Amino acid sequence: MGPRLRRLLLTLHVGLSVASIGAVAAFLALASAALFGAEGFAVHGAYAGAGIVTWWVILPLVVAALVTGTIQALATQWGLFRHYWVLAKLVLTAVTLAVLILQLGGIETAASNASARGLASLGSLPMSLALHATGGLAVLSIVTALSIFKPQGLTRYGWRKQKERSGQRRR
Amino acid sequence: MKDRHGYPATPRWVILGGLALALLVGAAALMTSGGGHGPGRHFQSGSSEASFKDGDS
Repeated sequence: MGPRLRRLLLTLHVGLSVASIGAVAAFLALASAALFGAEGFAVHGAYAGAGIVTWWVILPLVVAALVTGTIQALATQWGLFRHYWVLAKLVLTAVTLAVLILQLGGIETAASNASARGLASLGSLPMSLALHATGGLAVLSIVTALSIFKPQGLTRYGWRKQKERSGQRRR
Repeated sequence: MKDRHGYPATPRWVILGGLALALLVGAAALMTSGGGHGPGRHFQSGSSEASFKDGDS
């Protein structure tokens, strides 16, 4: 991959990742407003907005960040499994996406039932949504920190690859 | 520190991070498990509470 294309892909990946943090923060704001606000149109609207943000912003952004990150890792010397920080980012992003997909049902329930049946019908769902959003925000922040700090550590696979490459260079 | 093949030891941050993740996943699994009788009953979503109230469990 040429340097220009690599930088373009990196820009895209960073933009998508940071945007997903902002989108999750917006979801958290909506979920918190609904959790602590008095029942009314604003609270019902907050859950409807949270549902829209989830389906149209958060889900596409997280998927796109995961895909662009994977492509970038495979197309550059970093690799996907050679460095622990890359592997950690992959695992954490995949776990975040899995938890998000598992929460979609609850978000849909909140969005559709809040106005139809009232907040009492949601049980502990409002607290669960706010907690999951907080957790997602924390995990995405850790992923960002890993990208910046790139803590050292080669996996066994990465170490073997490095040895092979240095052995080839000597010849 | 290296093992006998020369591979450097797994970094401490990886071990600690992996443990933290395993603990979180375990705690989440415990909190959401148990059906209608375990500790998960206090943390189920509104839709599953509705089905529990309907006597589906």
